[in-house]
Amino acid sequence: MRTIKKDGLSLYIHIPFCVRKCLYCDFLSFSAGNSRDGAATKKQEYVKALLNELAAWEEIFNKYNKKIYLKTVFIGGGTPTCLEPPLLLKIAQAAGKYTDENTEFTIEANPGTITGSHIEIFKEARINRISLGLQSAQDNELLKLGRIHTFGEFLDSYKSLMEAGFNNINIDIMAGIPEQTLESYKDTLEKVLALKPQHISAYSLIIEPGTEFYRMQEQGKLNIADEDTDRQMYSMTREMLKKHGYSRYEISNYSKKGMECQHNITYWTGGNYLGTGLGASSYIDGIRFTGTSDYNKYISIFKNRALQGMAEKQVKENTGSSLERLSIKSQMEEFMFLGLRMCKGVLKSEFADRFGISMDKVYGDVIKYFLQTGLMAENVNNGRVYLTDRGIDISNYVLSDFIL
Amino acid sequence: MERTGQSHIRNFCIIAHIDHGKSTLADRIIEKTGLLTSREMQAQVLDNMELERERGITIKAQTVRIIYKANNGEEYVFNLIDTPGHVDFNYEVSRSLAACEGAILIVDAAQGIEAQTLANCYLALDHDLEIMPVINKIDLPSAEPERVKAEIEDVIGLDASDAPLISAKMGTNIEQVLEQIITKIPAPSGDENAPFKALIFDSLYDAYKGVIIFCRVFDGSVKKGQEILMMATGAKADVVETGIFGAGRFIPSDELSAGMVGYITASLKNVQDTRVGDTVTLAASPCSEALPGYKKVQPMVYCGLYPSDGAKYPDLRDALEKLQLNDAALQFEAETSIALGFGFRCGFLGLLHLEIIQERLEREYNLDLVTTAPGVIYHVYKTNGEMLEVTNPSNLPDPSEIEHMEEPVVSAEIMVTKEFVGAIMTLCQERRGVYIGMEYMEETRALLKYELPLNEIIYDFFDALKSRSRGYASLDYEMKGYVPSNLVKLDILINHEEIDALSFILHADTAYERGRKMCGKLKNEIPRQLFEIPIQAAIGSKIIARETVKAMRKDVLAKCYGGDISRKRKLLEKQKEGKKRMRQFGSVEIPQQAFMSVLKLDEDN
Repeated sequence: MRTIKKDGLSLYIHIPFCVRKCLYCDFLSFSAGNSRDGAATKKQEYVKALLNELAAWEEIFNKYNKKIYLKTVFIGGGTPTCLEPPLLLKIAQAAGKYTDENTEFTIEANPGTITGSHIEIFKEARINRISLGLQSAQDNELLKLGRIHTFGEFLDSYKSLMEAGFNNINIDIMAGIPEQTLESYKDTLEKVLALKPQHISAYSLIIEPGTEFYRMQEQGKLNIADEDTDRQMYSMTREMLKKHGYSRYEISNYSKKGMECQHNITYWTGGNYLGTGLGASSYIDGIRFTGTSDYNKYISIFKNRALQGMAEKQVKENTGSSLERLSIKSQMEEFMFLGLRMCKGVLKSEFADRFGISMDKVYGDVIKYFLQTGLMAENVNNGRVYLTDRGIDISNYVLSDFIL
Repeated sequence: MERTGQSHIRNFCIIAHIDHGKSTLADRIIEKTGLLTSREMQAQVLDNMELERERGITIKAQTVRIIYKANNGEEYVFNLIDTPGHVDFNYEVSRSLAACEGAILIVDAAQGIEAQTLANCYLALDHDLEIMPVINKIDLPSAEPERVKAEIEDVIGLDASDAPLISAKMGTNIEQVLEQIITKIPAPSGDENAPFKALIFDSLYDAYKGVIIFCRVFDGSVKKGQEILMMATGAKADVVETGIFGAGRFIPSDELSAGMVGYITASLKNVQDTRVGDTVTLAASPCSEALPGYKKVQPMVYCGLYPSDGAKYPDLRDALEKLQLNDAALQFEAETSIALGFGFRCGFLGLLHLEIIQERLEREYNLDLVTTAPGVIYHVYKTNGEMLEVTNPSNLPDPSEIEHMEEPVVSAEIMVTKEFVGAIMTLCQERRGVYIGMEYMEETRALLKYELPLNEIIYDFFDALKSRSRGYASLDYEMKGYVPSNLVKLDILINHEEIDALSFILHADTAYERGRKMCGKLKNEIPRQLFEIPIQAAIGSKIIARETVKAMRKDVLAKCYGGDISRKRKLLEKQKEGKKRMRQFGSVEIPQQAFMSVLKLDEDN
């Protein structure tokens, strides 16, 4: 685990609770329960288990004499702000032990769940980046998505965060929402741009199997934008954001200069990350593993703090048979298909450094083909290859050719 | 092994309509003769190919020798020669029949005589076989044995008064059948001292033994070491082994002599030499003339078979050669398609035969295949007086050189219950059928006679027939000949390029409809690509239908974070796998599925 020491580690903490599940969501999340007391108990038991898991990892790293430095922390979900502020603080502080002032420390927050005391504990725990799931500035669209907040409530949350001095805020927006029109989407973009956030994630709605939207679509009950409108929204996003000084650095992510999300960049550059909490995935030094998605199992594994020397056994029970050492071939593939999600693309020399073989030797023909068809471009000055705008539009088509 | 005199040998087969219980009766006969214990019995001993078992039909004739101790205290050798049960295999059936002295005719006590029963029965009568009717499935509540007996007497003209009433399934009255085999079916009466003369009714390729000839000896005898001669093909070989058919295994014998049914292995590597229907004799002292009835079977249906992976071309050739060892009816020759690369134009007896070969190639030889639309042999008369036989639409001469074309027609007999006569007549009309006549077999059932163009029935006629008669109609047909027809070649152009593998020949009146359907189907099968792709159907230079596959505009995964990577990888792997199954035409990629989809145009209409 040499690289952890050298480059630092990214930590993801998953909070699976939501007030209620959005109709398009296929993430691992659920309501904590209907009864107030029941929900409170459930959240407490989860946070306790999560703290035990973090402690187990702490012990493991200590055992192998690895100095832990967290270059990024991301508390996501679900809706982390579903948790009462004191619970959230415990989690943030447990992670905070291994951070410093340079650490990017993000929390996802759902407008409508943020309270003043949440904002206080964000400050106290040195959380310095907030990611707000707005999706749309139109209340009818929010309703369609099954969101619990209105645009007004979002504005309140945003204002409170600004007032508290947060200067690294992301806003998630979505194109292709049922009932959304080109005009309403443009209005959403304008309203978001007026707030001048540092970062904007602009997604297209994807109907995932297993979601309520999927069922509705099967039944023909979902009225989503046709392809032409979808493409117009898409290009509108690029143009308007560009005009306002946001540069696109990944397929769906835009930021002001220097405000890119470092945590997510870890994912796309093959960096080491530890995922904790229910069903979270990790990737450390070429090994990928994923914790159980079975809530009760997770709770029973981490019910108690591991006894001395038993931490490894505990986390192994959680990750089960998911542990997989990626072959060099798989690592090369991921280097390409993740790296090419980023607009600056992949660096040929980095590929050669990592794998001891030149990128052209492995992917020369593929790259040549996509350069010819205008789906990729090459920057000869810095030795990077990247997807063109057209290549990004159909990136699955391009990236699948990097599977060896 | 003690030799059984000809008087104690009975060679027979069982003829029946599909599902009337042929294999089940065969099982019971084998069981009752005590050669096998019940435990040893596979569910159906004769249908031993996996595919046959799944489809419930017999494709390859299987043969078994059994010993029956009759009520008179004497032991008899029974050779039960199984016959294929589908109209596609009429020639094989006829050769199997020619190896027998008699046939058991099974008629379902509830369903009565079917078109196929009649056809096989007439075939058996043509071979002067003694036909012994048996009424099966008397355990069914709907069984009407007396009515069926009367039907056999009226329709076929056989005496059915003492026909055993059996239930093969329950094992009822099987002894009666066994005793009647002895009394009703004549013993063989060959000349044991005449030159060796035997009929090949099947052959099998075995990896260890080479070609195994299944034959019925009429005169003389043969033993190991003698040189045999195949009279039609002229091939000669030394006999390595002779033997008889145990249930599911080969039992060597010292010799094969007049009246016997058995096998010969010889130093034969090429099964092309052992054609079903040919006569085997001894090279040193050949018989004066061959047995009658041999013909080189002529395929009726043709299609192109191509390996999806071009590198598997030699494997496909190998597999086809091996299948041909066991299947004299299968023909193939190499051809090239611009669209599909190297492959084979294959000839089959019918569509079922085609499907069986295709499935066997895929299943037993692990080949992934692309099949082109099946077609028939067209006679093309050119303006210069020349006549061409065309099976591959690509070989059709330029229209300016064609004087006229002829297509094969069949005489079809369709047996159907009264209530569906209207529906079936409509179907036949839709398929350009010419009504010849109708006979009532009895009050409720009619035999419809039509002349139908063969190319109208090779696609899905059988399925349509079944669905429009709720499964009650049965079909039998035979080649009638060629008639002039207004035929055209329909081409499919993808991105303005003609895809030769999708071309086919059809009647001008149906071209527009079919062209439209093909374009529609292809539009759904061809994935969007980097640019817009027109799909056109054309006759000559005239475009008769058009669809467009829009350009790919969006294929992107919006989110990909830490927990999404494995899923993303699977998605890309799947996409890559899909690309592998595409064929590159210029700059267009066409999935193999597209080639197959146009074969089933009527499915979702």
